[in-house]
Amino acid sequence: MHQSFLIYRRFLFLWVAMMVILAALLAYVIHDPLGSPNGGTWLGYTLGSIGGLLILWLMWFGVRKRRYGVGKVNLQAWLSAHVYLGTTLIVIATLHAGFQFGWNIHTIAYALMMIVVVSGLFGVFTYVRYPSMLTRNRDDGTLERIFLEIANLDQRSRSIASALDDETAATIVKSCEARVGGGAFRQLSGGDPSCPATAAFKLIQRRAEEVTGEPALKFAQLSELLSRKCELLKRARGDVRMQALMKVWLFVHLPLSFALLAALIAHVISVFYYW
Amino acid sequence: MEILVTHLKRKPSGDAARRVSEVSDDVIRIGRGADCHVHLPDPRVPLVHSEIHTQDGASYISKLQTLSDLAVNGKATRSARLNIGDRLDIGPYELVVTDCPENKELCLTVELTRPFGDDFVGLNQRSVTELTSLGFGKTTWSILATVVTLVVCLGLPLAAALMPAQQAPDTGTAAAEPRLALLLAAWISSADSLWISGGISNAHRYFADDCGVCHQKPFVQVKDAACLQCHEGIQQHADAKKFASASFESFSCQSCHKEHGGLEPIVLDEQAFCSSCHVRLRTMEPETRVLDVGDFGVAHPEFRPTVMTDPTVPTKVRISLADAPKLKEMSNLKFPHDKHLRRLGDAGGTEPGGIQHPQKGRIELSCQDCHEPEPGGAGMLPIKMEKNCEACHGLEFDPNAKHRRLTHGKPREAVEQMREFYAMMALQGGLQDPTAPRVVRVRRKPGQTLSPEEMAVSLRWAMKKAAEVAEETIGKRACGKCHFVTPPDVGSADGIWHVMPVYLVDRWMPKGRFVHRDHQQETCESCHAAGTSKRAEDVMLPSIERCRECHSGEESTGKVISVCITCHKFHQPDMGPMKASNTGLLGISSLP
Repeated sequence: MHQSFLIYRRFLFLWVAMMVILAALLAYVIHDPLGSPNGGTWLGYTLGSIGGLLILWLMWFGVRKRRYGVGKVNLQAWLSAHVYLGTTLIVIATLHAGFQFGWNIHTIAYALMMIVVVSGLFGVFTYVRYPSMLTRNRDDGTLERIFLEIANLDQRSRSIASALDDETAATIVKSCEARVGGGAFRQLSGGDPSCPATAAFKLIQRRAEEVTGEPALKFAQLSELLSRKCELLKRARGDVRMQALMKVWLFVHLPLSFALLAALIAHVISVFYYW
Repeated sequence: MEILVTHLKRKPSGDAARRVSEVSDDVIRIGRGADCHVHLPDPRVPLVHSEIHTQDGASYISKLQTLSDLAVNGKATRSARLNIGDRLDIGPYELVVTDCPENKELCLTVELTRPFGDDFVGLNQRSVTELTSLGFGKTTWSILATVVTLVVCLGLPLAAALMPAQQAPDTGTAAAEPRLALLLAAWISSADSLWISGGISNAHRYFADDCGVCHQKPFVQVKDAACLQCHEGIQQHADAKKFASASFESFSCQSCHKEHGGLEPIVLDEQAFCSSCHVRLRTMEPETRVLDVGDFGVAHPEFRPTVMTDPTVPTKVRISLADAPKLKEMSNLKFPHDKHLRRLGDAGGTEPGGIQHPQKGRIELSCQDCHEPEPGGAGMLPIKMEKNCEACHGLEFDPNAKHRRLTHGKPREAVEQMREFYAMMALQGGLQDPTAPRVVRVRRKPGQTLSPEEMAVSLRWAMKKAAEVAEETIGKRACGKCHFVTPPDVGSADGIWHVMPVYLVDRWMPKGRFVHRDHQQETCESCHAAGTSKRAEDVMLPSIERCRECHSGEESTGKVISVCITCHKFHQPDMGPMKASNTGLLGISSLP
């Protein structure tokens, strides 16, 4: 379903975007200004106005998104238009600038815009790819179910370990302290280098090979439980990672789009201050 | 010893279920192990944690493992004496020493006070599965990013634009204000350079730090007055009164000259800009004498040098190089280039090769011997008779006094020089000339004076002699060799010969720029057919086809690209100022 905003109305907004890009490219190629192409030619002003208005409209999506149930045009249409027309900015802004870049606020605004667009494209990528991967990863279940199973495994492994030696018991108790996720970095990495369950698993595997007699059976059981727990933890962390990736790009996309708005205002003021 | 162990299990109501067991042994072991007397099955408890033994009627507990925890009444300890009411913390268990019936030495209650709790709940509590903040939340980041961007992109440059230019403090001077403050002020005052939209052309770089030199009013386009601060009096393209389309009234300086395009000069050099009018100029302005022109390679007419056609008026006319019969420069000079450039091996007819030099004999002359490039190498220095010709063409007039030379360019003086010379000869006497009167030939004795008759005879002879010599030198041998001369007017007594004034056109193509130095790899002969020129009337310019061997227009491949302004100027001299200058009431420019 997440893909539908890309194929909305049979790629309507993709066609619109391509028409816009084509028109801009054609105009740029045909137009032969005095000197070199830049934002101050009539075509430069036109493309700049289009780009600026486009940016304002793109940011309005954030407002529209939060107006639940209101509006004649549905949200999916908005998103589809937002993604495709937002991408055309790459072409429009570059042609507006006439490929002129330097160490100034105009290029700062351009750079901010590019980062916003690229982060948005990354968001599109995650929205298209990850939902089905999440479902597969959860085995058609939920993250909650995985947690429940992990909890169950914890109980069982503790009860087995209480009959075993102190080191094993302590390790198993520690393994039940494992957690999923954490800070932003930990969530995005999808792993936990200090995971006590992994450490416990390694220990138990080793001991299972060494031990003989009756405890050997218990160690084998523990080994199996921990193996299953580590696999579940890996899945849970993978789940968390994908969900985090589906959110992290917004931490770039949103703040920098506001920064872009500020830079855009500065750009327009400065261009006419020193006209 | 005999002890009573009561395991308590709290119920939600607060009551406790009890399970009592009696144990009896010498030493009571407490631990997780199934063989322990006090069995604490939680995995957080070591297999054997501690021991209780009695001594002298008192019970003591002691820890068996250094790494495990034991606290008595809240205090961590290795061992302690047990009294009634003591509270022991072993792992997650709390053991309380209670009052005992008489047959027991020790009674304990055991309660699991810190059970594991719900693993699922615990896992949820420990885990953080949602990305809600990255240091700060999205709103905080947005505000931060906006504020920083506004300060850097708008605030600082605006402050710089509004404050007067500050200089950074010199390293040596002791300033009144703190040095850091001055440095900061200087740094901020240059912050409007962040607003620059492109590099400044090289010629304007020396004032590029001060935007206000050109951008004189905020939100107002750069006006012509800004450019005219320095480029005052920049001339029109053509006579605007005669040709309306050359007035460019609706154009500003900025219409054609776009700054902020980088280091290159902001002179427009695109061919189309010129040819848009000049390719059909005769249709636009029927009065024009300029021919229609387009691309140099394919649509430029043959050169039309400005040639002196009638020196008596004098009249200069543009004649096309293609119109050979009409192409004659009437300069009133006689000069055969071919004779002067004869090679030594070129013996033909009666004359040997080369040319005769008075001292050096037969020599070869080359172009450089007479034509010196002017400083800068654009054209050649004007030919001066004294410098370039007199070495061979000396203006002697008397074979017995070869050191006496006539002054060049002053015929009246020349005649007078000759008269004075012969008058002196006459007065001196002793002249070896059989045709002269006796009084002139006779040698004077010291102290001898001449009688008035003798003086008159001498003077008459001197004047006659001077006139003869003048006819010979001015008329033929000296001046007449190169100039057109007329004898003194019949009936006039002054005897002054007249030399026709020489009119050498300074530049054959004054509206076209040509720099000889840029072409110094070529030979003079390859463009100027001097070796075969017999007469001074020859206009020795190469046809445009000679230039087209190397040069062509904007779209050419494989040729030197030469656009209109390679050779021509837009702002022509002496056409009148293009813009009325605007330097304010006091005529003071606004440059600092």
